[in-house]
Amino acid sequence: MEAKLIKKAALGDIVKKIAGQKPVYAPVKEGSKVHFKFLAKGESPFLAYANSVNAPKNLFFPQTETLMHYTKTARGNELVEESETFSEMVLFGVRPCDVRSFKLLDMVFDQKQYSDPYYVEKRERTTIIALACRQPPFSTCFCTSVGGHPAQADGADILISELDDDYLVEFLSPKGEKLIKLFGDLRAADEAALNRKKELSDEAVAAIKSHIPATEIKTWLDSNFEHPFWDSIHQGCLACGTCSYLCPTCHCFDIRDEAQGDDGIRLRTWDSCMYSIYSQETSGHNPRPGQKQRWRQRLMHKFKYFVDNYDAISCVGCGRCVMSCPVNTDIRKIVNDIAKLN
Amino acid sequence: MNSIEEKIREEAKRLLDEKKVDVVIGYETGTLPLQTAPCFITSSDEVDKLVWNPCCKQNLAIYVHSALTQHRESQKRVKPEDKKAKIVAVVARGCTSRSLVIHLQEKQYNREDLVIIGVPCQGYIDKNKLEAKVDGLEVITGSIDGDAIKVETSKGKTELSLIEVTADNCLECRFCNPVIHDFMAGEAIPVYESDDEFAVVDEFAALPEADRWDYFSAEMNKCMRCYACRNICPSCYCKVCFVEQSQPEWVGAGVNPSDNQVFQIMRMFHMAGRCVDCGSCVEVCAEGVDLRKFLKKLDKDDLDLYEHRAGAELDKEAPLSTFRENDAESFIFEPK
Amino acid sequence: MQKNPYIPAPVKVEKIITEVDTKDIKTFRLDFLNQEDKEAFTYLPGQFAELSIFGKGESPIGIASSPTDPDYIEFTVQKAGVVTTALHNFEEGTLMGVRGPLGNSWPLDYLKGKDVVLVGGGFAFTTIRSLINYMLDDKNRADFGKITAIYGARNPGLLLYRDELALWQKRDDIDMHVTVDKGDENWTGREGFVPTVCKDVAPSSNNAVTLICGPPIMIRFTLPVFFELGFSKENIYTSLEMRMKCGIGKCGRCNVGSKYVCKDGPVFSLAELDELTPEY
Repeated sequence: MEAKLIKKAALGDIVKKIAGQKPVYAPVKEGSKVHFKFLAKGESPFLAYANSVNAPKNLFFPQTETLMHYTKTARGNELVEESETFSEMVLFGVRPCDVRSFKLLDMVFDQKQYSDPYYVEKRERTTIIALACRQPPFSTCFCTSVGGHPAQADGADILISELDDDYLVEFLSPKGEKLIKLFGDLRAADEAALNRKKELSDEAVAAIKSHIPATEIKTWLDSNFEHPFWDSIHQGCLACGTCSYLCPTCHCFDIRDEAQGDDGIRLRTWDSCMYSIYSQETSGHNPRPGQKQRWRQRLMHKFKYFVDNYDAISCVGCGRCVMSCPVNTDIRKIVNDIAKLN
Repeated sequence: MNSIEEKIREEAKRLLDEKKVDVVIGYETGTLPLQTAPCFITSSDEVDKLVWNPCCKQNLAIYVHSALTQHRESQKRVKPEDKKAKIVAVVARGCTSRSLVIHLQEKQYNREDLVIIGVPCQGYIDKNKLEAKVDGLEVITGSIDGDAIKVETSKGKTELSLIEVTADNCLECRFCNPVIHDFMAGEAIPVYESDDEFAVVDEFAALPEADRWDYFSAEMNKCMRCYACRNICPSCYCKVCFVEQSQPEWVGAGVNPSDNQVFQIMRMFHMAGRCVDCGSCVEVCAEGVDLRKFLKKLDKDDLDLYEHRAGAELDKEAPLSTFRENDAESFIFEPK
Repeated sequence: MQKNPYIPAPVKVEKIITEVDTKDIKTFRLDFLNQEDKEAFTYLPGQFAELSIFGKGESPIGIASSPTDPDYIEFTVQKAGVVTTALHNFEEGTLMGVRGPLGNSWPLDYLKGKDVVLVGGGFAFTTIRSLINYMLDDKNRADFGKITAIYGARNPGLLLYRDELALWQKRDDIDMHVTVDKGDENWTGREGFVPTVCKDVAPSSNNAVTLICGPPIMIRFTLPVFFELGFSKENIYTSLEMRMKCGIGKCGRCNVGSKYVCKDGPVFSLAELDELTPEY
């Protein structure tokens, strides 16, 4: 691993330079909102951002993705063979919580028995440049409660930490080191810089004010599938699924065919356990008939089922669902309320 | 606690204690600054949760509709002698009361299923306006002090006037007081005298067609098809929405510009004569899609062509479910 | 590199058999276009596959044939949604796709050396049929003890696989009971509901396992009969039906508790189901 220093002002141009060579997916400000997007030619990323509205999972797991093409022949509709290759990409400016989300998504998509080629290929061809949080971006951030850290980014190829006049750039993997020449003039990081990083990192941890007993509620969830508490959280829910669309770890999807004339595609689109038709069967039977059951599913999946299966909570504490819920349903409050029942 | 809030709580307590209603739907303080959440009070011990302030945004009529519809469904398989009634009380401002009127006109439930706690309303804080004022920064703390709002962001503290972040639909609202109610929590207030409530429509209509199309396309491209706009809308209560039908499939599942447009256009057309301009669809949108301009155009047509305002009068027929010989129909025979 | 698990293998509809008088249940015999796909499709009774019709989508269907007949695969499909309706309109010779085999299977290793009691109701007999053909195969029959099968439908016109039922009834290495809720003028067989017939037949629970597949109401009334006969929850198996899409434990749709029906099921013992949340 190599640790280098660059002047703060130089970073924007470095990213621009990288974007001249390969697609860069980075935070961009549009109006008053920040989204992850591919940088247009000559466009600089928005560096002074807190975190984006959408999660960067879109790069590996887009909201709509074509799985295959088919066409009509005399014998029926047949698959059009194609070997799509994804170009090498750079994902720049990912917050540590979102970097962690990729580790969690890997557990689902990159399994031994069934590996998801669409996700895995894009993931493998992407170099992740993380941007440590010097301050927690939002008052709703709670990454440290779910196993994360505002200034560490296990899983990133390059970690950039803001110091006082410089950025500390740590090249964490061979993939990251390949980009080293694009960073131009780099000074070796001295001990003082590394110490300063440590100091700021500790400050960032201390500045996180939002905490939830995420692991503690597991035992309650294990034995309280039926409990009056579940009647109390869903009533205001609009079932819009904004929480799951913006969630960096939600990964449920639907597969659908769309035809136009003789040609068609098989698509995968995001789906959400908050929707009634998600579990609706053709017969009319719905195993989760109401919003109560759907809310229980969402919570159980994140804090119990995923833990049972992968020994990790399926939440990175980014707070997007808290901030974007149109009716202010707050998962932190729910988890805290459950802990009180323990 | 303001006097309106006090009266809402007193009335809610009385209704629950006297078993006049099963649930009171109102607003409670949210977990984030300047936010409230819909709340559902079933016991008089909890009435102190109820609040009333400019952070009360959502039109609560949709919750009345779903509570009563779900109850009716649940009673379907119950023996006649065991059937139970359900009465819902709701905190209703002008726009909410108009939505309730639409439900009643469209025979969604009966007047006696409903107790309306009316509130005079001076408008709510528009999330998007506030966000623009603080340049997209997070509001870390916020409080309302008379006509001023004090907010704190990572850049420091600042004070805004309430009026500059009040939603446009509220600024132009002619229904500050409920059109029907069973109880008024506070004195009726005078309505804002908007010079031209349709200025937003006229200005847009004056633009060249290409510009209008570009604006519309750009707005629709923001949509991530979560359908929060539809789900909060009291007039969107179809059991199965056309976007979710699979035989035939009207709208593609993927997020692409034309499917977004088809969804939004279809939904908006279903709002003709049924949109009360409550602004909830805009308020709930995580991506800030501007739907109001287009809905307001339908509102204007409703008024110009049929002298009708959605849900304004309980005994006035809705134009699109009524036929009169002198109905305007130039848009059919002489389309521009 | 691993094969893309979302790409269906091309197959041709070799033969279509209309199973029931109401004509809404048909068996589709499919043949792989590519030899390597055929060889890769190694399955066991109880597994399912996604039937794939481009332009319509996919539908998860239990495999009705037995791997002991390696020439083809069969699926018995009820016309219900978009995909199955399209399939029912197919003619022999049409091309379509198959993705699989998916899921676990009937617990074959566990069944070895034991008596096996099979109970099927209505349309949900397809993977039991696969298992019967598998167990009755000369190479496999010695692995299992006494085989008892009870199969019921509402009326004679709704019985599936009638030729096979007749053959099985004549054999002495399977005790086959066919019943209908109500017979017609030509019906000479048994009349009565499946739970009642199970009670009459009263298979011994000694070193025996039962596999039950049918509509929820049948299962509800059949289970007490087997409990009474002394079958433990560990020795009663069933197969779940659930809305599925990917079939490989990713899309989340068939998630029940910590399990995915598509990957961890569809076959579960009653003891395993007790551990799951009741959301199926």
